[in-house]
Amino acid sequence: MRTVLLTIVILVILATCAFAQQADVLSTEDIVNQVKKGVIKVQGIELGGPTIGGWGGGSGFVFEIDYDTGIGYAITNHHVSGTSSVSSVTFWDGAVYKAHMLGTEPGIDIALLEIYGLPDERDLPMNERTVFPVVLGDSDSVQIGELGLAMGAPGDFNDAVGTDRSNPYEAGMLMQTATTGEVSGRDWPIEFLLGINRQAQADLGKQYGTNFDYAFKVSTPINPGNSGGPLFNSHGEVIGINFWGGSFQMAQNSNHAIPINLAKDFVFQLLEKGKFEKPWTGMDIIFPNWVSVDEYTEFTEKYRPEYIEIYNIRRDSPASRSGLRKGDIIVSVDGQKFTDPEKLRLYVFSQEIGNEMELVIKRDGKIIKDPIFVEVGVKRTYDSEFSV
Amino acid sequence: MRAFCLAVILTASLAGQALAQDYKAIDVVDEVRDSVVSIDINSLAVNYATFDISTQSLLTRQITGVVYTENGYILTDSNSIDDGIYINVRFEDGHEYEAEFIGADLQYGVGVIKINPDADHDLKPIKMRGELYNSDIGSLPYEQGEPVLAIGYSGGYGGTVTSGIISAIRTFRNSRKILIPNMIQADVPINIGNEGCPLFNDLGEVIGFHDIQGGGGSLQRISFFSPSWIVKRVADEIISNHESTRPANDEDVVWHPWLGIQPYAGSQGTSGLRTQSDDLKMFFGMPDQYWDTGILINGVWREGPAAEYGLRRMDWLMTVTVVNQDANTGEDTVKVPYQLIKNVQQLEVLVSTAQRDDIFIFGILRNGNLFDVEVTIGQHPAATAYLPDSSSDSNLTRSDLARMSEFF
Repeated sequence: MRTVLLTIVILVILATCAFAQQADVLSTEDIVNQVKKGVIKVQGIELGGPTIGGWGGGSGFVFEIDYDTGIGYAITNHHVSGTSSVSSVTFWDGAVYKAHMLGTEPGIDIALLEIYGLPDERDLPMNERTVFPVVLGDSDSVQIGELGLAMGAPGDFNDAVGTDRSNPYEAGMLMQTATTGEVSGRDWPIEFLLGINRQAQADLGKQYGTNFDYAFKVSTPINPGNSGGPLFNSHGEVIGINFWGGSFQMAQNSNHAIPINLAKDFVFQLLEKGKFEKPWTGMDIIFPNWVSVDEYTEFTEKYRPEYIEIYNIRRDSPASRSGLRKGDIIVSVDGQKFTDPEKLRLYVFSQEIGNEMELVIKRDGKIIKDPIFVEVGVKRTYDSEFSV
Repeated sequence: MRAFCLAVILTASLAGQALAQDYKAIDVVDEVRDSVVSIDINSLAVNYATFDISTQSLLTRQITGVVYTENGYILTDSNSIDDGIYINVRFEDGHEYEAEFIGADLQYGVGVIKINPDADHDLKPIKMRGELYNSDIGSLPYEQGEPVLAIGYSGGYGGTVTSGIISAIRTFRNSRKILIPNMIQADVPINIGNEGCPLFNDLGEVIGFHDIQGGGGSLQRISFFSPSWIVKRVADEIISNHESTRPANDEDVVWHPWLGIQPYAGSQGTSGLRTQSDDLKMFFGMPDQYWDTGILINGVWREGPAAEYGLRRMDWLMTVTVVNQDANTGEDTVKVPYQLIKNVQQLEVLVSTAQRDDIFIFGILRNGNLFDVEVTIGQHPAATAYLPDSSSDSNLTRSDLARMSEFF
């Protein structure tokens, strides 16, 4: 009898688990209703130079609110508001708040905003709140083919949407646009993206000065102005940050999003320590002498060797203290072989500060028997984004 | 005990199934496929390839339509539908008819044509959401995020089905600068040939008709659809004008409600809605309790209803009540209860949804005095009959028309 009862209990628990899992998968209406109070339109007030979005700016999302101080924290793209110290953000109901840029990281195209003066709504029921933060998900568990629902304020820039800019009704009217599609690929290199269009490449490169290997490819429509907006999965959690649409090329539904886990590292470190410490060793391995994006692209396409060469060692860097020299060729790092400098850059980026990396070096055509140990340090603000 | 155990398992699995109720596009398509038609509009055009003006060739434009009634009325896009020397309608099941042009309204973008179906061919009219609000749930009959389908003549392939969601619901000016409340923005792929294509919800009801592409098509999957209630109203008017026994004349004009006022745009320029600046309110000595209320009239159209009933430039419209007078009994029924006017869009929505002979009672502020003015809403002067062999020729000049877009 006891075993039967136990079986029933187990079955009920299993059933409820299955039930709960199934209940988590939301319809698109429910996702939109759940998240729309956290999706914002961001417009940089230009103090540090023009942004790509130009007049219209981009999108973003609030992920945390401190009700005691009335401060909310929002994520957007570096290329939306990273060059402006002050931005204005607009919520779904048209309420406008002032935001201050807490930090920005061009290398991963993410900026963190601090929004002032949010109302204290912690005692209100959910449907009466005007601001409600979105939930950050886990981008590592994203499967290709999963739902990707984007929200943001597309088309909100000069001469877009066939709208009449002199008509005030039509300015900023595409806020809170929801679009759907699927995650159609993982780990797409941004270097490939840079090659799309010379003008866009130059615009991007001037601000990024970098490239990375790990964008999501999505079939969700991403238009200019969607930049910085969230990409939701079927549970209504943020899995990515929309940052690059394919509308500059004549391709349909090839758009790109940054996985949210990259942003999490950056954002939580910034919130806890007040600064973002980027793991760095001080080697120039990507490009010998960075001048322009065009030259960089030409170099990677035509002249880049099949091995990783250290073109330069930064002064007072962990690499210079370890005994590495200019002209060394990196054979392996921690037992892994690297032929692509972007991959090694990503590897360094994923290291914890203070870790020691074991480098096997080929110098003057001979492999040095004793490996060289490099301690991972912190990148200084004045170091080039192209140094690793 | 075993039975109980089984019951628990069954309940759990049933609950799971009920939750996973999938929206089946295939069911919707099955239901509405026979109601969507391809329309070929054949017209004469100059052959620019040969640069020979005397040589004329046949130009065929392919658009999409839907069966509206069982006796053969078909709804489609209004654009250049009367150009055709003949209009050809093709059904998915192979039936083909020559159609007659009935009427069109360019401002709302609705065109109506008619076929005479064969005796053995039963037409299947579409189901259409005809109401502005769903009175059962007190909200719109569609919702942001809802899955939708479009069926159309995409790129010359008849009956192409595309799907997406409602991206947003916006009160927006359509491509002819007419304010449409609750216009639908959807992310369904729309291509050339989808003009006039219907947007279906998951029940197979039409909720909208295609109006314009965002960014002239340069943006990915941003399309705007006129809500079906407005299309239904316009189509019904065109059809009843056509079916009335008297001959068609220039009075057969689709109802375009109009007040004829131009609001002051304020000093805020393009930042958001037209609201009035604080400086202006201070200049006019606005009482404190009305600080966030009222719109300022910048101009009234010469022969418009507002001018006729005594509204003037530099009046502040503070409050509004809309009443409808019964033509037979003379009794007033309040359609929109007394409310403060907070912004221009609020009033413009009230105007765009007004019926014939609605009376707007405005509380206005003029020279520091508050009093009421009654305005009976009128017909838009640019709304002219658009019928076959229509001789109507408006007296309005081009500059009049350009200026008129500032008024509502």
